[in-house]
Amino acid sequence: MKTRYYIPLILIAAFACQNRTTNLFTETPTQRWEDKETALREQLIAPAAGYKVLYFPNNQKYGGFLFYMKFNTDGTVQMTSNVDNETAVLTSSYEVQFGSTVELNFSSYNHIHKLSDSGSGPNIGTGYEGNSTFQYQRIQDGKIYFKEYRRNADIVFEPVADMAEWDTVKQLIGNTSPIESYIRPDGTKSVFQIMTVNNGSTSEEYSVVYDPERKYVRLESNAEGGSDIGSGFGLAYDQTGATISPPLEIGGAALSRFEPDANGDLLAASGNVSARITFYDGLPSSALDKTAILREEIASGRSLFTGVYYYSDLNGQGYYENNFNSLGFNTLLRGVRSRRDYILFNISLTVNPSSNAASLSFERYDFSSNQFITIVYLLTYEIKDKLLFLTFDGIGISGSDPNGDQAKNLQARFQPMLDFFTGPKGLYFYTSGQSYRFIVNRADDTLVYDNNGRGASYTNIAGTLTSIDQPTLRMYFLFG
Amino acid sequence: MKRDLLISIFGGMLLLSCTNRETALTESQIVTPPAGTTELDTYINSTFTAPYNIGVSYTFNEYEIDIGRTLYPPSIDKVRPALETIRRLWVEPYNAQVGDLIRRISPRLLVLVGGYNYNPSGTITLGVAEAGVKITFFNVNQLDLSNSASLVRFIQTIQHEYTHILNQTKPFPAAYKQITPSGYKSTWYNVREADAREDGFITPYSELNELEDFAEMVATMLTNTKADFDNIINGITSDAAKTALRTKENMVADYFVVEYGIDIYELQKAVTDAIAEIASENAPNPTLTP
Repeated sequence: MKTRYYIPLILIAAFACQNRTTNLFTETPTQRWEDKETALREQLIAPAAGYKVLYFPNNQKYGGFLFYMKFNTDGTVQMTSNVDNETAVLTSSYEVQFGSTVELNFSSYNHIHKLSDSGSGPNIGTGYEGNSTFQYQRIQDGKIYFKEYRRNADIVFEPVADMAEWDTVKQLIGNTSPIESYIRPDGTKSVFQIMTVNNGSTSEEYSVVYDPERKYVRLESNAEGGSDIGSGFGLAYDQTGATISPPLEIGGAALSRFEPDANGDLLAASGNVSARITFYDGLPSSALDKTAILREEIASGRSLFTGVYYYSDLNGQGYYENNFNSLGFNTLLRGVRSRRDYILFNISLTVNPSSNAASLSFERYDFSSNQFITIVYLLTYEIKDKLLFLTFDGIGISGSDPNGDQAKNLQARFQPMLDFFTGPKGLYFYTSGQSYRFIVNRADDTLVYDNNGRGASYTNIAGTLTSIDQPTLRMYFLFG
Repeated sequence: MKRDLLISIFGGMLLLSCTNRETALTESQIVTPPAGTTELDTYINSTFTAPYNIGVSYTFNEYEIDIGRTLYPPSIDKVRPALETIRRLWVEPYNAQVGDLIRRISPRLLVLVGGYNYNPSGTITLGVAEAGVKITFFNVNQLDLSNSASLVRFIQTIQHEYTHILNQTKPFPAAYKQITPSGYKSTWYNVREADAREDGFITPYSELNELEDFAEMVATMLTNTKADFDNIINGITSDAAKTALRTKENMVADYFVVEYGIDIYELQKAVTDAIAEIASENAPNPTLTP
């Protein structure tokens, strides 16, 4: 073998084991994990008055809740919250642990687990979909940043200066405050709400549908090519405003807080970018046209049906008072639902798909005859411009009111209800396609569940009719 | 010569190139949490872990539960009463029958969860056994020691799941499945209890398969007095259903005697007596008004 063949081999051997790797970290992975863990432990116990935490368990469905928590060196944590009216400070255990990263685990029961209680909250079975194990991200300016990975929630622990602040939760029980009145329609305000967004140069309008049970705003835009600002956001109220999550991303700015303005609207603003939520008299231009679904359901022979009382409860205690009805409509309903001589059980609007005929039926339990009597009023209908127009067309008959005498005699009492249905400006029909759910309240506002522990619910498509003449009135119903 | 020199140099470099210059391993840097030292941990160790090799997990560990469900840990003050209930209604009655059975055959881990475990069908799972090794108890926070029905619901879990473990160790006769062979169905949750009994099943869940049927029979027998159990059977209208359930009862009793030397009726009395005792001990004191 010639010498020249050995030279490359020698060079390869000489340089083969040279250490040319670069140390990106000066510490071992284990040390770095341990350092993160130590930093978190030390920061958790640092503030003498603990932390304020606003936790949105699922910001695609629900608002947020306020917690105050103080971590102690013995592995205990004291906590209070505004999830419900039990605000007493509870002590439980916490752990800083290894999971897929360094995690904070609230390991025994405390207020935060109320959001993981599948037996309560707006959805029996999942509750608020909360979690009690958070992944540690970083510490910045004394705040600790966590991520909840199931719902991708960002959670920030903000140090509190004074423990007196903890009493704040008592004024915000159930995530409510007087600020909610700026967005929650009462019996005197239009149920139509819009959010006007200004990105600094142009304005766009979105319809606002507020769910007071979930403290959640659903946004809808009818504008072609309208900006995508998300489908909605949850709210967490305090005494002066509401923090929202996810923030509204508009014109490069992220708006995360609404506060009332001088006009009585809710305003979020940053520089020349703003979003304003307003009650709107009349049908907003951004209201979606859902009449195709209305026509489809009518063509399938379905009526629009809404329940008022339980059949099984004739003593007058078991009426349905649905939160999806507007407060104004529930007030109207109270006026006609219970009288000395009858109880109103349900209302149904039947529309003939092959003509312009419709009928409105009120099923009553009549105490003088001890039987169910249905009174019927005849209508004509027309569907146009996103609206359903109904016109009174006389007294109808039923099997239990064969001559229409009862309908005639009771017409004056039912006139407010007839006025709702037959307003000349029409009824706005809306559906999100969701199934029908009774939010059942007895007179004391407590929830009533069926034998399985769930609120009554049906898979039928649900919808609402809102009077343009009296926009405080919105009726919730199912197609059945 | 030159060639030998080059080979020597090359070989020497190869030999030296892999010299071990790493530092020796030192003490582990992984921090392991210290063993529990609370009064509750001491109780668990002396009551379950040391005598029976059974661990108890009562703090929230999402790796021990179904991550798809919304669950929370029990309140600390609810843990010991729940474990005492398990001890008095499961460990002690079995121990009285066969001294070392729980030590020999038992789940290795009991997991306690505070709230309800809802299924998509709307039903509630009271407990889950995994491979005979782990039993999870749900709604520990809702356990009401003064209420016999609440105690029965809670203890039914372990009586049911322990039956599975016993069956995995010693299977019951295949003939059991032939008593009501056509009644098993996956949609058991749509069946009312009264209807299940008229079909020869002690509970709706019994209708899932013969394994659950057998476990439900045992759990029902061990949470009802003999008289109450007889009343359940005698209250059934269908003679065929009564006969089927009595046949199942006899096969269950035979299985316990033959395979484990246990008189299930003595076990039944011990468990139901203990249920009554616990409920009585925890009954609220009547408030005296002057």
